[in-house]
Amino acid sequence: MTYKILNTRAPRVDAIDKVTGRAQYTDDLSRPGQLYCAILHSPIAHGRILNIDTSKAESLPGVKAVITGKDTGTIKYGVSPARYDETILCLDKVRYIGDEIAAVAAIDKDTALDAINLIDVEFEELPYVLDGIEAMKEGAPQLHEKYKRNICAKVNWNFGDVKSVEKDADVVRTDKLTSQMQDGAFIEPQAILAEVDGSGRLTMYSSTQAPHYIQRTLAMALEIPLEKVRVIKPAVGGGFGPKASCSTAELVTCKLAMITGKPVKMTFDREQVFLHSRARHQFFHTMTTGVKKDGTILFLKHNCILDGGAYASFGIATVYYAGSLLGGPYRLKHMDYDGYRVVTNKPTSGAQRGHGAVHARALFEMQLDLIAKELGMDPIELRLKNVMGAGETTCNELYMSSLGMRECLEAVRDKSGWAEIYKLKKTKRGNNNHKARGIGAACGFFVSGAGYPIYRSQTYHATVVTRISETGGFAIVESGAADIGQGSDTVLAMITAEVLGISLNEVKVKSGDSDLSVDLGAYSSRTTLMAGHACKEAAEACRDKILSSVAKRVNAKQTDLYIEEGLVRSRKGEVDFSGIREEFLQEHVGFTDHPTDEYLTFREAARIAFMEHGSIVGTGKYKPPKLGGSFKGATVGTSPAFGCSAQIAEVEVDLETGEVDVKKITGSHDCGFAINRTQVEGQMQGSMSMGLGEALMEEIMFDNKGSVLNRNLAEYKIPTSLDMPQLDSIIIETNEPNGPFGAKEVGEGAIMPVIPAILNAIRDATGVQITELPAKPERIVEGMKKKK
Amino acid sequence: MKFNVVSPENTKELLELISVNQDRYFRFGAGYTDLLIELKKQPDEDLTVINLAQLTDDIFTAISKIADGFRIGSLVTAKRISLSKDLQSNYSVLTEAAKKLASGQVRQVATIGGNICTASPAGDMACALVALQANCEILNSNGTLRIIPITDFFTGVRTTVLQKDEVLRSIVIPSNNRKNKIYSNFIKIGTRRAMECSIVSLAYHILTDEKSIITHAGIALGSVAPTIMLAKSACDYLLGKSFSSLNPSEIKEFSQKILEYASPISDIRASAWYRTEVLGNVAKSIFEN
Repeated sequence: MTYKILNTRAPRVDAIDKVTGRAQYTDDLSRPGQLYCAILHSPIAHGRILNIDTSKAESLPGVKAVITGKDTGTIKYGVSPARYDETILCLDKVRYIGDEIAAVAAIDKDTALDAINLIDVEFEELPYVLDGIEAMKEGAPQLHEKYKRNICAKVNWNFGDVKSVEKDADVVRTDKLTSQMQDGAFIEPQAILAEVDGSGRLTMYSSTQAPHYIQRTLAMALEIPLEKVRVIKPAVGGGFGPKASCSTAELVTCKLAMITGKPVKMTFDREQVFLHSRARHQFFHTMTTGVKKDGTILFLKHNCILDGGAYASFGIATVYYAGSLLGGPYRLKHMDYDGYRVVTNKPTSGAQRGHGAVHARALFEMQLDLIAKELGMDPIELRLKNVMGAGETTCNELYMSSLGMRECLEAVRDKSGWAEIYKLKKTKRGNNNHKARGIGAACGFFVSGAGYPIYRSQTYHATVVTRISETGGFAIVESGAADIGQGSDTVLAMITAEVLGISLNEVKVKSGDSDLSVDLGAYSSRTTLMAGHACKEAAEACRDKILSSVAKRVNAKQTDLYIEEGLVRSRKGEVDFSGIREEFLQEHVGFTDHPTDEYLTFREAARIAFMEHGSIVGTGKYKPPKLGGSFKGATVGTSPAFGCSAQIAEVEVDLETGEVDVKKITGSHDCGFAINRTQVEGQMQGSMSMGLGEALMEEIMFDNKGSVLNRNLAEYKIPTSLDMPQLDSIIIETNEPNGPFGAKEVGEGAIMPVIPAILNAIRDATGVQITELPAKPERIVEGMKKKK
Repeated sequence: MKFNVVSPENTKELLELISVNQDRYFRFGAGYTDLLIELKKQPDEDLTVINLAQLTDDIFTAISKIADGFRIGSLVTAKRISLSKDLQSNYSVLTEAAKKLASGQVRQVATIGGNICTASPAGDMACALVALQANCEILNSNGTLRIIPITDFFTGVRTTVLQKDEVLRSIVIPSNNRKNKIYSNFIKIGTRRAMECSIVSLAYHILTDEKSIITHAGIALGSVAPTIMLAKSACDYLLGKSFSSLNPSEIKEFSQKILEYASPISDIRASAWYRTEVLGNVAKSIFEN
């Protein structure tokens, strides 16, 4: 099938507005008479609140409202209903440095901040625990009553029968990998503007990834009917996961707007981004993998402890993902997993690109390399021997409706020149006393949309309403989907243009508004597949209505007519459209843009349909079929489709300083079908950049009291453009049967192989096996020293 | 962040403003890349900033060749230093340090005077100037000039010999006398290639005669002590030796002398252990190319 719009490199629909600064982000919005919100954060890691005195703050001129937990109530909220453990503001306890105690609305930001400083809080300090392993021990300070030994979620899975095959393994290795808590480091700090209209309806503009979930949480926690809450997502400067859950900042800003009757605005400082966090957990992975002499992977025993900070947030999903996504992309019949999600007195972790699975993948792919070495096998050969393909099901009942894992691996192997480089004697790689070169490969695997909503519901995951303008000049797509910079508006516009047979600039996308449609949001790499399906269906409905009207008028069969490049054509010879043209011209006397084509234009056709039906509206919907097994937690990891990827990293390590120079990454990703080739590559390259940062530099550091030391982007290092290597991005297309036009994810899967590919390359260069991320120069020098 | 700003346009106005503000709390602002971050953390509404950015006098703004070297006005930006062909061919330690400072955007406005007066042990251009054994030309509010070696300028972390009525006007780099070949470079160790505060830096400026004998050596160390250190005994050790044929034990001895100047701390960027380890390694690498 050839397409006119899809599979091209069409420019993004928001490109001009963004590069010219015209795009409106939440912080760009303002309302006459708006107030500013500021939040009082806990200065201690763990303590009981004995008293809060807000009187001085309240009497400061310019202060309109001061609220504490007494005002915001006892309703618990969170991400997963079974783990609701947060109140809007702290009630009896604070649980980390940054926990939210009180909020102020004042006439300007300075006044609000001054008022915050005037709130006196009396604490009884409690012992605190900052280490996830320590937190699980008997007698450790307990954060929440309901989480015994501070374990807020536990997973014990046994797939297949590990015990029965253990003795058959020729190589068995146990390895460990520890990571650090990370930050999302999106460019736009969270921003909120909340206002209540004359009818008492609350509208919140927020830099969120998930208007639908936020709308539900606001209604529930603020105790107002769902219909009285609207969430709008203006342009968003990145999210990567941390903006997927509802925050105290959103809740208190709304609460203050409701109390004062005035619009209230709040934008986080970068420091607050770090304190609110909800980004990547700290993981402690231990894996034992058994393999036969011929390279067949037999079993995996996996233990993982996740330090998630003070509250559960997305953590329950994270701990499941950390185990479930090792089910693929290799044939692995026997897998045990023990996962523990632990709370500590630190900022809360949540979801971040590659949710839960990134470091598990990293250690497993490192193990595969070490095992290949022991077996004397080429690490790519070992992987190829084990890869799954379409039609296979993992031991934890994930079904691969398409899976181009083999194609991905072969593509990067061939493109990178792996065979030659890997076999080269180290001296011939240009190594000397200072520098050593290495090469490493890894694979990855990820969901293309979570199989189930976060809350228990039979809801559609995405609906779309598409309308054709009464002049026939353009189509308007209305969707709740959240374009947070990943380009989903462009994907929806391209799908609509393709189905309607019109050009991309004749499609307008309105999105990110809970009033427009139901869409679960930008997380789990779901939008192209799910909103894409709904969008396709809505556009098809419009197209069919239009063609049906035209067919009636010209006595043709609707199925013989089609629209291409803005023109209505017939598959069955010439059709006389002159009557329609005449009518159209009569209605547009004096206009200068009359159609002159010999074929009927889309405009004329749509106008004819409008004359018959009034507004031409098409609706579309999508929800996945029932997926997954029946074991506890079987829903996490299910997806209508799975993307996969392979990467080869080449590095040069400075042996004197431990500095790692990533020279090149060759990456491939099976996205099923590339709706927009440039955007697919953009996601792959963004993943490589993010993965490179996670591999080499990113870590949140704490002092011994639990305070974040590097709460800014000067000291929380992410890669700069100068740190980026040459990137070769290869798109693999396997025509996913469950995806619209065969498309599936690329947003998160592409980050999976980056860390292990780099770490495997570092080991290839230096012999140093990294056991603790990030692989900072210091850790590499330490490793080399130990080796000597 | 609120503060008062006054913007003198020439030296005379500047000296007057310094004079009249002696009883008040004031700071100098030039490129503002450090000052604004500092003021954001600790706002002070009573603060007056004497804005040097509008000064037009060449003595503050120009790079000029003088009889015994080069003079660089304290308002010259890192970007201009990195582009100067004269400085590149004579003192590449300085141009390399300028190129490695922060990012393109910061280099566009950050000044050499600011880099010195901030007195950070991690100052990139400041470290190069210590290796070059530059002199600081300081004006006081009476218009009196005093000249002190940059090696005496720093008194501790973020403290200098500057008095309240003084301003750093310019820097003079001595000329490279009787040189045959110049070995001059700036080594900066960090986790990324831009927007990085050095974990360790080493600036060296070594001159040799036609027989490759070292006639002059200036080696400065950054981020390993409360102030940037001139490794004097390591420099002296090199004098009279052949640059291209130092033997391994001499290189080792040299590196040990360098380490005598290091008393690093552990902080969020790196441990003291790593700083020491890597300093010893990069010191050796000067001679290994």
